[in-house]
Amino acid sequence: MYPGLPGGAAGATIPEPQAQRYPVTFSWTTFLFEIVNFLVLVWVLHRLLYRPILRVIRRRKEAVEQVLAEAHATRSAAESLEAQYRHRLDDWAAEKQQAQLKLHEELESERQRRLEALRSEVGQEREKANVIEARRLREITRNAENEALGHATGFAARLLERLASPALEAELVGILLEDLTRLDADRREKFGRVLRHNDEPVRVESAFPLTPALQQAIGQALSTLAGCQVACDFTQVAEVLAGVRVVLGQWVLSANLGDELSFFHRYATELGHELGQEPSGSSAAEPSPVTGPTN
Amino acid sequence: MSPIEHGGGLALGPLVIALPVLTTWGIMAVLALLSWLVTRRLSEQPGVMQLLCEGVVSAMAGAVEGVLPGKADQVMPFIGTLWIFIVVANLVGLVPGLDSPTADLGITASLAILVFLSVHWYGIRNEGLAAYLRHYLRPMPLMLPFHIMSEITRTVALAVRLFGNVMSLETAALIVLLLAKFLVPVPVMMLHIVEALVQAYIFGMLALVYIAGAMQAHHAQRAAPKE
Repeated sequence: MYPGLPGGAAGATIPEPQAQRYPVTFSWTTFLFEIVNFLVLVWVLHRLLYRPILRVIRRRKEAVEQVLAEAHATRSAAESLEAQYRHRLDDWAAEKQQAQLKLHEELESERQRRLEALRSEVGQEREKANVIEARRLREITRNAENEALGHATGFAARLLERLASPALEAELVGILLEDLTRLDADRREKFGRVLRHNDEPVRVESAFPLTPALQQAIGQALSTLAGCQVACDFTQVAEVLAGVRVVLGQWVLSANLGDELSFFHRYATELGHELGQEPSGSSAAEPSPVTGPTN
Repeated sequence: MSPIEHGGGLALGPLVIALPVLTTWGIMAVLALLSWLVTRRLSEQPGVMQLLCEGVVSAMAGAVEGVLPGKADQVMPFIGTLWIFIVVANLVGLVPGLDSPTADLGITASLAILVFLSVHWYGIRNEGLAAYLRHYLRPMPLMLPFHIMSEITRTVALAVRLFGNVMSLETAALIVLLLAKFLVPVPVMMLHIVEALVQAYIFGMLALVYIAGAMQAHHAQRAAPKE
């Protein structure tokens, strides 16, 4: 405590020995001792206090820094991973978008392809239906025509059967003779050759008995074609109806209602078949002349 | 040679050891003992005493580092010891029967002389003798006497400031105690604590600034032409 304090009593004067200590005095001994003391204290505190304490602080600081470095490294790794995963997610999103685009393109392509196929199929079906419908129409038409031709043939046959008579037959023989005279040179040559090389008599078939004049006219006309005398065998055949049929081996000259009706009926039937087979185009069959060779 | 009581001091033959020196030895012993007790079992998980010591030491190291970046390790033991010793020496006066050693001019003068010598020691050690002495001629040789006067006066000022403050505070407290009742000096004693801390801080900080100035004299010389 404060030097010179007189035992805690509030004295009015300072005791002499203590009062003499306060004037400013300087002791070289104290001065030198204190220098040494302080230097020693510096050394002692440096050894016992500062160095250990600072070492501990430094060690702790290093540990903290190491932990911080590890935390930073962990954080960097985490950020790197995060960036990597983010990139991967972006890549996945891009791939997904590309896959969706590709899928849409493929779907659109497939849809277009199927639409084209369906359109083509529909077109083919429509074409087929058109063909079937056209064929059906042609069939109907052909049937109608056949039926009409059948009716026409029937009507014509019945009419011609009623018109068949010796007079009509004479008219038809006249037509035959007229046609024979109008044959061109080629045909005339062919008929003549056939007549000349035919050993058998020419068979002349008629529905009614031919008058001798008609028989003579026919024989004369054939002989004229042959260029020689031709023998004729006149017979009656009911299917001829009216007119004559001249048979020269494989050659037949028809100038009668029966053959004409048969030819007409056959021609109508063939025409109907051709109409049913070919949807377009005209028939190649031409009506044969009243008098013509048939095989 | 037997110790002889001599005015509160100790006489060893012709050598008289004054009371402040004895008190200083006591302070040194206590500080060394406490330091040894605290630091003998330091751990990464500090106790209260270790935490207190670490706080004090790291605060002092931080203050020195703030003034002398990168060179605190050199100066910190000296400045830290100044702070610790002066604080303890100032506060010892509050202990009944003991006097503050810093109330003795010989003590404060020795501390001031040590500061004076350490300034030159650290300056020469860091700057080199020629470069350090050259800074006395800056900014012009005419300034040499003023630099010398400055060195002397600031050293004297260090010694006298600390001595005067502590001695005057103790005297004032004594006078108040003599004139007033027993508990009246308590506020003065509280002021003594504050004054002890402030004076220690001022003394150590001024010493640090002086040493830093000497250690950075070369940098100051280089920076001067730019200015």
